[in-house]
Amino acid sequence: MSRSIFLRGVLLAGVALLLLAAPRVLSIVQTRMLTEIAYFALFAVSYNFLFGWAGLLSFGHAAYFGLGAYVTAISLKHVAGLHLLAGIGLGGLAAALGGAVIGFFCVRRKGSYFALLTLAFNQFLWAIAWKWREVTGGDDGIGRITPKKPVDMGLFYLDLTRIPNKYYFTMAVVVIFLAIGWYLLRTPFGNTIQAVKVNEERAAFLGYNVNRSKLLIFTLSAFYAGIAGSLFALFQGFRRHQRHRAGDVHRGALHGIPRWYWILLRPHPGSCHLRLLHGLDKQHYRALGVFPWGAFHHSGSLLSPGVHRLDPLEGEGCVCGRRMIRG
Amino acid sequence: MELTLSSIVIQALHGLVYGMLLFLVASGLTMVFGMMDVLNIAHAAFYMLGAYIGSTILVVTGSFWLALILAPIGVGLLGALVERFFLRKVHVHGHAFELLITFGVFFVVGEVVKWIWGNFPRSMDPPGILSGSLHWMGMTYPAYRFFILVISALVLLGLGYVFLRTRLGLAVRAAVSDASMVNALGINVPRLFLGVFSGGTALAGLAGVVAGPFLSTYPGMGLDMMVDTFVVVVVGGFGSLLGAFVASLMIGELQSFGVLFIPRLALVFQFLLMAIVLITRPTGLFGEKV
Repeated sequence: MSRSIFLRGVLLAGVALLLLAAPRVLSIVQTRMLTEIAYFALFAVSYNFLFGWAGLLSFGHAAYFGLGAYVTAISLKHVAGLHLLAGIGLGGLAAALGGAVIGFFCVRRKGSYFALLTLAFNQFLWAIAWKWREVTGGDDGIGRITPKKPVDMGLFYLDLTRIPNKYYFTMAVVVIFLAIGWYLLRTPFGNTIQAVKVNEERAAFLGYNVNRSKLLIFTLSAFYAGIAGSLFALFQGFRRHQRHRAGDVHRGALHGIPRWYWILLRPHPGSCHLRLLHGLDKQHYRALGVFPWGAFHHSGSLLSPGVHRLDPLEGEGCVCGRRMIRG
Repeated sequence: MELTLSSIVIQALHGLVYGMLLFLVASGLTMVFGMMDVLNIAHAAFYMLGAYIGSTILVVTGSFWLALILAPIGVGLLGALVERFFLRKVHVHGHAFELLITFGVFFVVGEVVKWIWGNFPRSMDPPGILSGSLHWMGMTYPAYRFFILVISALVLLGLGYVFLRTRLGLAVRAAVSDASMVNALGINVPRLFLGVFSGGTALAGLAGVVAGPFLSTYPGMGLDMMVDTFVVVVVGGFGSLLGAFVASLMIGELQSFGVLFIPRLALVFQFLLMAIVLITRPTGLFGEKV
């Protein structure tokens, strides 16, 4: 036991060192790519809360990513002197609020009905983002919002126009939220969520408020997606309503699936894999010929659970939930 | 645009044409859902595939009518393969995986279409006989749109006949209300599932070919259609053909007149309607099962 903890510690320290050293070794383009991977991975983690931990298959998760991104972009643009961190926080809170309201209706439905209801709200928000030109910029999105001047972080000033600084800032936010999520899922609340996933009826029978637990994880997941969206808005430079579209949520679904890594870190390899393939797709399209990389990785990630009879939902996380139910 | 009686009639016809096209796609979707309890997300991908295969057949043979017959058959066969080798295998893993696998098929088909046909729109010309306009009481209407109306109406009548007047239709309707009971009565339900799934995808393929010259063939057409058909299936009620028909016309007219009167709110209203139906009456207007 102690040995495995030691090994994990060494591995974690090694990964941390690699991530710290990355901008010194990698080129600007690669660093930017790594930044992108970081916030998409956070989005994937938020999807994993919902689907992996609570077993709720949502088709409307992009809504919260978009909500966070739009609120951050709009508040930073229109509220003079608003601190960067406050802008990100606002994005996350707006997404959480949206998640709480939408989730209130959604958690009362199951299966396809749940998925379709989340999709309906997703499309509803997307239509608003697309049509409400005065606020969202419609098709054009919102222009650059990355602060030009160094940001006062209390102890030091952070110049976010430099790519490596963007990288460190994004990484720091992502790691902090990962740690919080890691802790939250190990509290009794996390156990309840898994109990609800494994057997809803029995969890309700044991006296747990199933709908309230689902609503809580739904809101938490929306909050995380909102934070990821805020980071996206900050560093992508502009917001576009396309992110809201139903099709884009497959990123979340894709990222959430690979099971063979640690519970919370699990979505990260998926995110890297996807981003790298997207990069490959553009850069080496001619060199690689016309091989359908997109189809290849979609089939790999989405069809494999069915074809190989793997069950990505049956991760280690389930074990203690099942234990709770068996008593 | 000034509002005259004839412009209102034309707008209503536009809505009717799009609504009937929606019905062609949604009918297969709602039947599959009624029987197998699976929301087939890949359905709209088959619609797109039908359009692309149809456009290729049109280019190779030069005959639109051949495309209209062959493309749905090809798409239906592919649908049968998907049911037999993917959906049926995943069934034991539970509901979320059935949804996921059809989601996967949707993206794989989408990517393969981009790979084969390229990531840009293709135009399809309607056959010569349908490329003109019809004139009637001072109004002019494109003949091709009228053709869509006719072919959708024929399909509707055909489906109605099969479902209400034949033994096969009786078995399918029985399976929609209780599949395991029908299985116990000695009807081969898995084969029935295969047939309905394949037939539904073939209808989607037919709709794709028909839609090609009307909406043009582009890689995002599946996604656009998918969302609209979901609204139709939800509002009409899962598993109800009549509901799908009524809801298709409703959505078609809503979009047609919405663009005219409330261009900014038409889309919003459509999704709000879907959400309200799911919240207050998840069975939809005509559905029976929850």
